[in-house]
Amino acid sequence: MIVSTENLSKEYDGIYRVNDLDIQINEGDIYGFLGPNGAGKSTTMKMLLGLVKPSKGSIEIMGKSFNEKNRQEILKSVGSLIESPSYYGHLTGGENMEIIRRLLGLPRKNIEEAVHIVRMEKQMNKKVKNYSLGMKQRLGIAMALARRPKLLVLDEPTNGLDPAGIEEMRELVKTLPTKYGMTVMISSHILSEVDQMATVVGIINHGELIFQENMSVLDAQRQPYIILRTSDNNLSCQILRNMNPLRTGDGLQLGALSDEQTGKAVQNLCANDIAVYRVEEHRESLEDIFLNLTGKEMTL
Amino acid sequence: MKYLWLELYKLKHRKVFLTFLVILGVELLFVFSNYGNNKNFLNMVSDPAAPAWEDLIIGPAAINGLFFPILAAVIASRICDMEHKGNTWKLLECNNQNRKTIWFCKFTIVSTLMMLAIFIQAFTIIAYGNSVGIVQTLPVRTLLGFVLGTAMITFVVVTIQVFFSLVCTNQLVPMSIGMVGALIGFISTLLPPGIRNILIWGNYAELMVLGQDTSSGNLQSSGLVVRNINFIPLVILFVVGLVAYVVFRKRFEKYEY
Ligand SMILES: Nc1ncnc2c1ncn2[C@@H]1O[C@H](COP(=O)(O)OP(=O)(O)OP(=O)(O)O)[C@@H](O)[C@H]1O
Ligand SMILES: [Mg+2]
Repeated sequence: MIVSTENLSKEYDGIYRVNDLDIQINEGDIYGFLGPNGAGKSTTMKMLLGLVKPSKGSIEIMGKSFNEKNRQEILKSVGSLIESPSYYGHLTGGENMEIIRRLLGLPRKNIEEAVHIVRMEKQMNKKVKNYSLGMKQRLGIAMALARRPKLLVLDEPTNGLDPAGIEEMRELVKTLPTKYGMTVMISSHILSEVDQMATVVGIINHGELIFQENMSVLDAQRQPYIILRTSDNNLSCQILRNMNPLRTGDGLQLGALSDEQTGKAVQNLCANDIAVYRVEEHRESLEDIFLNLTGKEMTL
Repeated sequence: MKYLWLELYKLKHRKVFLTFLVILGVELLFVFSNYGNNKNFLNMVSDPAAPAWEDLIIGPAAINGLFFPILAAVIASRICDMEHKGNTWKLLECNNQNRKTIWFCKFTIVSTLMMLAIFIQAFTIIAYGNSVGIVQTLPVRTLLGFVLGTAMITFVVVTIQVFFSLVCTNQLVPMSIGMVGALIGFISTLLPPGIRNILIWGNYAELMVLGQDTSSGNLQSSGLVVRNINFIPLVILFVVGLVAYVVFRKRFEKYEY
């Protein structure tokens, strides 16, 4: 267990903005930490980094109880990027990296490697104030990676990035556990973003952890299904009755079918002079699951 | 020590030292360009009994009240605002640096520069006095008193500037405080002792080691009297400053950005 919290809570002005969180992150996980704006994601992550003092509860990181005394020691193997990127604008990217290197007493090799991972080698002599937001964000990740962390805590790293930047970030995060043996905790308020990279999902709403499950469990729950639309939906239902079709508004829904089974079904319908207009595969998105869980839509 | 070097490293391209030299240079130029045309001073130079050295000391002493608060405010702000601009508080704290060392480094750099300014002034006084050939023997105690007294007041001024520069995202706040201080410092010689001692920056007026003999009411050197620096208000201010230093540092350590 890399991170484990017990009853982690934070009170601001008499209101629990984070309430009784029991977060569990295993080694090698990509933990997608989801929640709408103001849910308490940043507050939780700040507590995990000792930037905010919990009002209640305890934190264990890499088997050690996290407190004021061993905080600096533990953080030497925890890389982080919290909210907006941090940097010295009047210095170059290379000089910013040098500050981190000296603060942590790292060899130069680590810096080169971190810069290489985020592909920023060519930008190191440019002043950071002239960087684009995506470049600043990548520099921030390089700073976090320089210590070769066991745990990487990223708070909405895709904030403000364009679709290409988001995709790039996603690819980068995905490679970290396998290539470098890191564990990643990544927060987002966009469900679909995390859907494609997380191995575990934790959903926080109004400060409470309402869901925490392996992606594989989720995937099993949301089998894909086939939607058919034909010239005669009722008759189609009759013909395909051994596949247990479900008659929906303007078509019929079949369970999870293999390619062969789907082909057979369509052939069967054609043989009965029914025209097949549409064959679609659907899959419950994380949004749908969230909707089922809470009974309300999660705002983007 | 590592942190102090790192702090200096971060000042690259910030031109802090240049800014420092320009402001101090303007002050010294302003002060010492006058003596050459000052008949009273020129008369005193060759008179071993005349307080020519004291007259030189009150040059910077009279104007430090204006320049030092500004100098301290500008340097402190330049050194601290990069942390606000780049939002680096969390970065530092997640990377092996704590608030105590941040405070220590920032304070040390600003106060070192201010001390340097005082020494440059003392050196300039001696150099200028010798170049015009003052025959009076150098009143070392008075000069040291000026250096020490200025340092004590400046310590408090620096504490105030560093604290507000660190906790205020908007650097206009510490700059305004510096401006108000400069204003008080500038008019401090006109204020009665009790009042100017309460107004922190007003204490710079205590370093006027030469006063006019008000009874005679003329500007002849015979009407000038050498005054001892009254260290009592300065010591009180310094002790209050020490308390403020500890309180401010604690506040800064607890401050959440
Ligand atoms: N220092 C503070 N003082 C008072 N309230 C705070 C403070 N920090 C956060 N809060 C409150 O705590 C709640 C959770 O904030 P938090 O920043 O953790 O949300 P978030 O999940 O990160 O949201 P976002 O997606 O917008 O980043 C918010 O309602 C916020 O107003
Ligand atoms: Mg947030």
